[in-house]
Amino acid sequence: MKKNKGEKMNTGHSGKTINVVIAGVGGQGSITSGQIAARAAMLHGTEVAMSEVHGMAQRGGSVMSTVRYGSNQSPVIPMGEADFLLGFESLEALRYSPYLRSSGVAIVSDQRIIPTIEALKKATYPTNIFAELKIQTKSAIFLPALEIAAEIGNPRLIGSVLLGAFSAFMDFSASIWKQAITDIVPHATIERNLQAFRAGYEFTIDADVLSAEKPVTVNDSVFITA
Amino acid sequence: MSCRALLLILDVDNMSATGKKGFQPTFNQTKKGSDRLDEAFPSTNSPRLLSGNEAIARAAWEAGVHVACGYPGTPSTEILETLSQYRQVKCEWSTNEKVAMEIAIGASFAGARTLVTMKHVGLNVAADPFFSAAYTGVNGGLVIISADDPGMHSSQNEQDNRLLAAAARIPILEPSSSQEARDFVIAAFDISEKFDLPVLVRTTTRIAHGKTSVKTAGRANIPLRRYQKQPSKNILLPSVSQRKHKRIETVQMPLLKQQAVRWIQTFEGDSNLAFVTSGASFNYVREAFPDASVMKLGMTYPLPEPEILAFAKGRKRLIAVEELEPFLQQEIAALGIDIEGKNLLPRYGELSVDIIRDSVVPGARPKAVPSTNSLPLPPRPPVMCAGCSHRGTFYPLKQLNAIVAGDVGCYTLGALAPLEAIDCSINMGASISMAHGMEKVLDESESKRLVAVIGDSTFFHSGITALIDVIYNDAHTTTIILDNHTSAMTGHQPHPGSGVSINGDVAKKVDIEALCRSLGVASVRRSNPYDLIGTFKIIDEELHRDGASVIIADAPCTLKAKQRFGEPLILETQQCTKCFACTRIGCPAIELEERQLRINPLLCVACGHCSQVCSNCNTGLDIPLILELMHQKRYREAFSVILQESPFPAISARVCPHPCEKEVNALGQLQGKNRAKRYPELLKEFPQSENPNSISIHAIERFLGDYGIVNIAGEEFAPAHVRRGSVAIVGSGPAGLSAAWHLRRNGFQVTVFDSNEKPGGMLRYGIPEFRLPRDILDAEIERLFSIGIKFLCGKVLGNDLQLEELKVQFDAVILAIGETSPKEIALQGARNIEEGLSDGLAFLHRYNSGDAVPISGSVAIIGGGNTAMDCARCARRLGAKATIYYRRGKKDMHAYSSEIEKASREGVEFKFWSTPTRLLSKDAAVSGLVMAKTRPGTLRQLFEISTEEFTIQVGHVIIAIGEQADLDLLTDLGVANKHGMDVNFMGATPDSGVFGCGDAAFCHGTVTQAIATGKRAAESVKTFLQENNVLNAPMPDKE
Repeated sequence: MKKNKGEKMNTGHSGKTINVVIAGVGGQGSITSGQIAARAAMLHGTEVAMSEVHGMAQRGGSVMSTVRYGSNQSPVIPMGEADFLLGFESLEALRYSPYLRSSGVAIVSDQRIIPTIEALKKATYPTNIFAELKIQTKSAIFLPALEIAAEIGNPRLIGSVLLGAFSAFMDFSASIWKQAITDIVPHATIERNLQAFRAGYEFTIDADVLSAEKPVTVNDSVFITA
Repeated sequence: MSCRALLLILDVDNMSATGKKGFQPTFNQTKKGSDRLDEAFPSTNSPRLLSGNEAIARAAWEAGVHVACGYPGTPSTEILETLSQYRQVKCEWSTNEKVAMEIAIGASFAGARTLVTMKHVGLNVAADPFFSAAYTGVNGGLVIISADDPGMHSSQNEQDNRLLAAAARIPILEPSSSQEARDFVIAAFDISEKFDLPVLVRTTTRIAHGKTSVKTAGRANIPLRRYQKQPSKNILLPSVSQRKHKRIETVQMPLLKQQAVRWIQTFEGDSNLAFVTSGASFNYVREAFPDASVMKLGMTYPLPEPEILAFAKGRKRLIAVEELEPFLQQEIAALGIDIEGKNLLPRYGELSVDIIRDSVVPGARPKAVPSTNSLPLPPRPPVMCAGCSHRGTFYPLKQLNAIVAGDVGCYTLGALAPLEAIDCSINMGASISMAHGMEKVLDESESKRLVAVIGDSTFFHSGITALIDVIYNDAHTTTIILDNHTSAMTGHQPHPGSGVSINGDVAKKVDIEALCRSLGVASVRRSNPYDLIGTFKIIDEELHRDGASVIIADAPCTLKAKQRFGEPLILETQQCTKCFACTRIGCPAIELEERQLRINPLLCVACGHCSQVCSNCNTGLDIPLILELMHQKRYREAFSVILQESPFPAISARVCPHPCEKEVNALGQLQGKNRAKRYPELLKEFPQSENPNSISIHAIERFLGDYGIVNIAGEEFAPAHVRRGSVAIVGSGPAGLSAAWHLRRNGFQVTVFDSNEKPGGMLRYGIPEFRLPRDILDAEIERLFSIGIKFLCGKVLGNDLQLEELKVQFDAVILAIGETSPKEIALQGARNIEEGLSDGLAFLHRYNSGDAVPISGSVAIIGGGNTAMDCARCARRLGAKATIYYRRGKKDMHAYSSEIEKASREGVEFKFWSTPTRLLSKDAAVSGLVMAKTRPGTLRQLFEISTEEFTIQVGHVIIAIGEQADLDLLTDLGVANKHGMDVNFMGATPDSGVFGCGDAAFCHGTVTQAIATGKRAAESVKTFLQENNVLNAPMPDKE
């Protein structure tokens, strides 16, 4: 059951770009998700640009990549102009939240990855990330992506869970997403990635995120749309 | 908006497929299966999403390149990685960029189209051939990719290689997208061959790593050009070069300028606001000012002068937008054109849409930008991976306090906290030569600590020549080669020592050890970086050796080898002493949550570094190192190692329960067995009394502590330099004194306040002399005086001292005020020793102060901790009959078993399973106590009180059931939470500049745990002072 179809992001036909910032911790697989999101656009016939991070950004560091629908030039997204923030980890979502427009949507895994002890000497891990994100944007969705992924069989599936949630806002067809996932992920993991994708999508749709006006609690996750 | 491409020549067809000028490729029908990539992405008109680097690789293949080489370097690495998958191209990773450049020149001379790739600083290495390559010119087309890194995402500097290319008289192309990267590279080969010059294609990180869609074609059939001996072209004797340079300036450059017009793209818009730009900046300009007029230059050297003059004519504002140097701006200004640029835009870092918008029309931001986060967020910088072998070399280097000349690779991260084991790092291969230079200048005590640390790939790149210099010039430098068998940092490219080629084929392997031996290195040894103390010994020995030596730290990259040494380690929280010693190795798998350390099983590869560092010591002493130094009879150094953590070895040895002597440490290492096996002579000299098969650590600590008191003057530990930053410490117990010690050793000006007459707190007024002799206590506290700590005694916080005033007078304040409020007990009656009822601590204070204590007859002591034992033993010394009443059983008592045993031996009696309910008194004095019997509880209750009561006759009752923080005082000070002081694990309170340590902050602990919390608070204060720039302020005239 797709809701609020009229509010969905119309990709690539309005002449305007749709900007997606993906934030996470190195090693979480955020770049793969960016590739899937970009691949979907290619299959759909929409122009797309994306950026990746290489080099020093090895495992464990803060990682940000971007996907830009409707552009074939620069993947770099200016501050305050992202329409979506896909947060693989709560703190990293908060770190890159200044990229979001006030009308943007944050889709954030509630997972917490504690930074190193040296980092914690400088500042503590914030406890009120959800409230902070809520202030900065129209819609903030926290979902237990890690829990869902683990249930399906592998914590590394969180990217597909988040993409499934993201897909609820986009007008790419299910078959495009399916093809995009099939094209990008390792062959042996296609089925589970599709399952994770579906779970993320259904979670978002069932929770009525798109039309909810008040915070509702579903399976320990809070959804708010202002 | 009008957006018109005036001159758009760069369509795919023109440049690559049916180009009109010189470049006339035909497509060969590649056999199926001959080319993996092309099979995956068949040449069709449907675009594919490629990074700039992938597009360049694809273009090289399409352009018929036969030879490609380079050295890995972010952001250029993926070009050759991708190209090497096309088997028709002979690809290699060369040992360095200079070698690569020369290979490319040779291949071009021999007739092949050749590509050579490197990051910006690589071009510096290749500068020698690069600067002469224009003189000889080419035979087969020669294209050089320079991937610049403005913003230094992964580089040591940011440099604009357009300056180098212009100086070398080499034309420059700058693509703005992946499509252009492909098109420009194909066209570059055309230009190179047509104009007989190498061509440089300059990308930047955003172009190299950004992915946009690209239309591709097949491989052009470009036959190899015939090789000809051409001495007048290819031998750069002065007579040849003089002619060639003249030809470049008078013939080639003018011709190039004429065709530079082909590379212009113009967008006509607002005539008053016009930009000239190139590369990534073009995208930002278009986005920031979509209505402005823009001239985009594809070829940025040489420039099409007439077209630029025409474009500039009549503009109100003309602005050059480019990253780093004002290259276009200066060239255009030299034409007599009024142009802005670096007067508005930064000459450093990357540009962005935001920066360009704000700089060009300040204050005219089209959209409100949301406020940034108000919360301070913990950073998440890249770290060495869990299980990384480099950690096993840097930790011993830190133990040795080595002066380390570092190099460029993953291991440069060894410079970061907590290892902080690198002194300098500049460029590839510099470590050995820098160390050699330092050795010439440093005094002997310093040069004996001098080490060069270099990675294997970097050693091959440019370390070898420096090592030869060291040998030739008879230097003594110790070089450590961190050999992880790969170029890890750029993503695991093979190198001459890997035994694998760029294609994954088996390759010849250069043996580093044999190479070093053949150079004449006096000593070449291998170390196992997973054996910390073994590595320490090897480095230590080599530092003391005359003559140059090389240590090869030999272990594969854990990340590449996907190595797991066993099941993830588990930290036994019950056994963890919270000394944080394991965090000194800086492993990301060791996490902290709710003040408890744990091992993240998803990250841990069981390398065992942390379990070797864990000593299960309350203070976090480096026991493995102390034992090694004891073994070598280096007592002075062993003593200094203790003093890095604690000023009180002689005290700790006498009062600590020494959990360090447990057979297995909190991380599961069989430390007792290992120590005994490694140091049999120490076992003989210092056996544990209860377990003669294990070394007694506290006996060694006591030996070293007493040795230090006798043999080593406290002044030796005074800071070499006094620095800005004054700290007040309230409380002179073990925590406060420890904080004072560590801060003073860092050079800060420290004043300790205490309410008592003399410093020492619980050490002096809580622990009786028979447990801690006063001459030992005084001698170790004297050490703090002798390094310059000031003491002001007899000052009571809240009366004589006000926190607010201290905050004004000092840059930081540490509260080490202890737990002073006795715990509540259901026993009515005023605490008054004269009347027969006292609290344990008050009783001990009076006894330890040397004042008369009116106690005799029978004394009941309530409690089962060490305070209760001390009270009972003091009461015995006052001639009283002492009985300890405890609400639970013997094994439940918190006191150390050794203390219980001593009390028992001195005639103290024990009664278990009873608790007082009522005090009996007669003539305003205690006469007895009504006790209730207790029994073990069920579920969460430790015990239950029964209704069965009995009465005992005693003249004095001492309540020693423990203390808690004075919550009223802490609340007044504004730093209280439910249990005590509100601090984070480092002792910082929410009140900026106020810190806490010891029992008040971290609840009841041992003396040695208090010492550890004092050290952490000192560290926290140091960070605070650094971040608040206190340290940079000028020093006062007098301390």
